[in-house]
Amino acid sequence: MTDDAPTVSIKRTGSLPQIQLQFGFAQFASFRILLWDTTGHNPTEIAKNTNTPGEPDTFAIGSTVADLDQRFITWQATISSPTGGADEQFSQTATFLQDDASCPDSPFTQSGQFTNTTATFANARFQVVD
Amino acid sequence: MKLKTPPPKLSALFAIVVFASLAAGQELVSRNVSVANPQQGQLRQIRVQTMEDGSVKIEGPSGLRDAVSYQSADRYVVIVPQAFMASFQTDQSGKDFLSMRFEQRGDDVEISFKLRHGATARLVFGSTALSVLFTPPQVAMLRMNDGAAANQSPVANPPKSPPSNTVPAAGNSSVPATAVPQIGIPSLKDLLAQIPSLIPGATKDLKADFSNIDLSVPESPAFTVLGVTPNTIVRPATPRALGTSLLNGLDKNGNFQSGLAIDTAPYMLFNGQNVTLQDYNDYYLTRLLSRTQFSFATTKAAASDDTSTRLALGLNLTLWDKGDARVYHPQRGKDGDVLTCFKANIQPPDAPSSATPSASEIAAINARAIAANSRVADACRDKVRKANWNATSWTVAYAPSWITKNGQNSDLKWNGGALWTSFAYGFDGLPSLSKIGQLILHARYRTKEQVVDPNHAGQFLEQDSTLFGGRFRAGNPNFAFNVEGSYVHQRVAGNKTLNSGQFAFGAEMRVSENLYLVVTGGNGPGDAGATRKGFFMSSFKYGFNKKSQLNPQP
Repeated sequence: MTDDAPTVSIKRTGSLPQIQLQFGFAQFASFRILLWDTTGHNPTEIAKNTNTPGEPDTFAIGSTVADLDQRFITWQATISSPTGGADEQFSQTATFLQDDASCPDSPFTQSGQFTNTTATFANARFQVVD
Repeated sequence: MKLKTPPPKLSALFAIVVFASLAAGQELVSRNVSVANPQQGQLRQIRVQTMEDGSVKIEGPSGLRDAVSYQSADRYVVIVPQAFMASFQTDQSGKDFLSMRFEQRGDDVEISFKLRHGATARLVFGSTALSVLFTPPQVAMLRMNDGAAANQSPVANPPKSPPSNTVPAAGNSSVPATAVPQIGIPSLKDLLAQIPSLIPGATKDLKADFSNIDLSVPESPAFTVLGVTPNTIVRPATPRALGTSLLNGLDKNGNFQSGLAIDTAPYMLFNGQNVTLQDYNDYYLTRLLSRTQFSFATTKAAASDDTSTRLALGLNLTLWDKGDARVYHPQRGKDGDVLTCFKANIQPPDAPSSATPSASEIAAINARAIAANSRVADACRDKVRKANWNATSWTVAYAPSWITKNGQNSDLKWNGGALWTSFAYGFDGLPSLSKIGQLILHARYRTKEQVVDPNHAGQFLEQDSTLFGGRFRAGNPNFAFNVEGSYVHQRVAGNKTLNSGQFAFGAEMRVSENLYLVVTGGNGPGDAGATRKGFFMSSFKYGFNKKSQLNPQP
């Protein structure tokens, strides 16, 4: 992973952005979302949760839109198959929402085949636009 | 209904076992059997001689070291397993016994001695033969008293004034008969271990392989209806892979080639990325579609000069599954629900050192997460599988098939099909049964099935058949049983119909830690269509096994 994380553009005048994390193929996921400073350090935990029914999948990011400019966000997940079959599929989709709409450059999707359990990592950098 | 072939000596068998378990076998005297039994069908010839000193010598291969003995009233009985006597004289008498009798009991020879009042007998194992040594009445009393003094075990202590017909015999001693040996009191465990050898006709290591009725619904019905087991089954992960597989299965003229086998869950294939756990749990239709399996197969006729090709489609629908691991049942707890267990134990990967870690750092973090959580996930699934082994479910499968005589798709004609359904009931809501029992009901209908013509070698007949079957199994580590049966209606070419039935049962009871009494019976597939009327049983076995075989709980 390099410094050139993909960019998520958010409107300075828009509402506080949110991240929605969804996992397909009815797989279980235990995930962690961290917000980092503009240098990519000093993380703050936005969420550490699972996708079991009834749990939220959308989380607010930061405190103000302006404060998010050039900051990094990472999301990681351990994905496990409830049935434990071989060669199963997984799909992880992170959608950034502002004013109930998907932000430009969003969503970010990872998918593939796995057996039993797999793990994912993804990151992005906010850019506040007028 | 009346049992035409009653179980032989079943009640006596149970009585012996129960007596041995409860009374610690005070009268059963034998030695540890450490020599492997000879294979059945290789019975050993034995010779019996009355010696001048009054003892009786039993000769046979390997010294007959697996022989056992016990006392029954005033008779001392020696059983030599897997043996026969070519000739013998009954009702012989000796110096220290009133009579000697021989009896062939199945594969075993029973030699019994009627003892004089107060006398005892014991078995002595030599290198080439067994000797039955008799102790006169006055010596026997002395031995009893010494034995009581030597062993303070409350179980093993014989009464100080034993009944005159209770005469323990030492089974594993090489001390001459004239000496007064210490009595080796066997432990309860040893006694129980000897039970299989003491019951004539009982089979050791009896395998409860009575179950032969297939009540399952095929996961890939297309393969089943064609009667093929493909070497290579394509399981496409993407719609594109499915399309590629189908295209590869066509020849240059657009006709299906033989040997194509595809198995997939179409809803997950085309829409799986949008099926979240929440959606799966909220909507029955999502669950039904997600669990639906589709199969497709083609095959060529077996005969080399037959150019026909058969193809089949298959659908497997799980209409109901209370054991579905993707359904969230928090009320079942961590041991009864996979997702609850996952939620409590599976952790996300460790946080990286920065928001932009190196690829190697991420690889290491993910590898650690996969390794640790895979073990956790396995443990969760295993626990829940055991807890939900009898979950209620209902599955249906259907497979139509077609045939083209010349290999052209335009010539496809209906070639019959099959329908299967199984309902497994776990006695939900009945606490006393829900943990130990399961009832399975099954039905199968099949048309235009090709079966071997029993009257014309190499030829086949077309038949339609309907099968109804059921199985009830229940049990725990101490007692388990299984009953199953089926009824088959077949109609072969020429409108000849045949009705037949099968049934089987098995039961096991734990006698000791590693010893199970097993009883099985029923009639087999070979009895189907037999002209007998009513209830009949073509097989009945009883014996012992070291492992539980019928306990349905995993």
